[in-house]
Amino acid sequence: MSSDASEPADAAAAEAAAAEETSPEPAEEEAAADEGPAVPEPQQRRLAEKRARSGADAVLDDAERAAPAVEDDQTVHLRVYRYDPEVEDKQEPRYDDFHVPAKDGLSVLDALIWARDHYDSTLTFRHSCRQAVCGSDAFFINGRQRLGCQTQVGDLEEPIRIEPLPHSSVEKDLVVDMEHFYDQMDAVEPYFQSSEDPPGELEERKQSPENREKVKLSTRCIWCSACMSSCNIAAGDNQYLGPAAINMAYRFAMDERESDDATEHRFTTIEQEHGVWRCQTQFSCTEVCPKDIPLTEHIQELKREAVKKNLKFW
Amino acid sequence: MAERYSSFAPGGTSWLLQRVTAAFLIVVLAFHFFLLHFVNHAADITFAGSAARMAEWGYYATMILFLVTATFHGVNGVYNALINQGLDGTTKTVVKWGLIVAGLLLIAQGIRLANVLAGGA
Repeated sequence: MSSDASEPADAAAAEAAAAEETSPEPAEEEAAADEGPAVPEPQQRRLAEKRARSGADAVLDDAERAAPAVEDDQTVHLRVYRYDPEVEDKQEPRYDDFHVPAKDGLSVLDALIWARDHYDSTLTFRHSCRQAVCGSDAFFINGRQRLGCQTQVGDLEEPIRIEPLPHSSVEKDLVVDMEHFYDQMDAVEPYFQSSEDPPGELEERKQSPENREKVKLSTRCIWCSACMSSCNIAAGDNQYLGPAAINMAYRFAMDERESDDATEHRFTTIEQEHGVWRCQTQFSCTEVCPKDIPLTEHIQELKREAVKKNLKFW
Repeated sequence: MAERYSSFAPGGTSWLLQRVTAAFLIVVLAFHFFLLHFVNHAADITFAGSAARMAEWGYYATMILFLVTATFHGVNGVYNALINQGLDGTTKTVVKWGLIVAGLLLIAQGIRLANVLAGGA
């Protein structure tokens, strides 16, 4: 720094240097996040297992992924399920092949949108936010329920087979009927209920941080229906509430601000024959959940609670 | 809301009993296999030996409990597997009572045999 620099300039430079010191490189940030105590241990274990599993079935290893440099003329091969009961040629389901230009960061949803916009405007699928929040674009991609927007094309083996969610009736192409799923969600009354007035003069109902932590993961549900589609029991027993609905019941049943009679009312629904007891702990819902909700654990906890509530020793 | 619902809701009870019997069966099955397959080879098991074991009160009681829990576990397991497959309506009622009758017959025959082995009846 030159000696004739004015004092304010010096101060500004010092500030800038300080700012540089306090804002670490992205790599350091990641390392700090890994060490941080914010993520509870079981969840980290589950995420690590999930990564290992997905590595085993359809994800290419790092070397394979890095090898083909992305060039302008490179394409990805999609094989998409097509069906339309209103068009004579599409009444018999078939697969159409699309070759979409590859680029870094291309998601399955991006590829589908490109194929629709450039090849076939009748290619039909649901999508909205494109950032794994709306839950509209759950598809059966390479034999597994995934969100189109959350799944990177580069992580999949080609041809990428995209089908509508299994165990639901297909309306057209990749669009399935969600009515039954929504009915099951409504059956558990997925909203806060309490017969008691809020404590104090204000309208607010405060929740303890511990209780918030308990229900936190269950609140992540985006109603995408991937879990319901993956569930063997829901496929056979059409009355089974399903993982998403039971998780929603868990979210409110475990909320300490709900009054006791409201919780009791919830349990009359979830402990029906087609409620929690149908879960056979296959964990398929937990594996496919795009928001990493420990669905099976929540269902098991409700089973234990239901038994405890009903046990009488006299 | 807040109405009193009966203790032991049907679904919950059978689920709990299924787990309790499973835990019991692991222990008794291990006992059975060690005694009658590993320590004494199946070829060495004789009617006289079985009759002698059954004559002991503790062994007899364990075997009767083994019979009852295994029957419940098996029958309830099959019934629930069928419910998982969407069994419903009249078929469900017929299957349910069919399995109950089959289970009771099995227990009755098992107890009759145990009594014969123990030297009674």
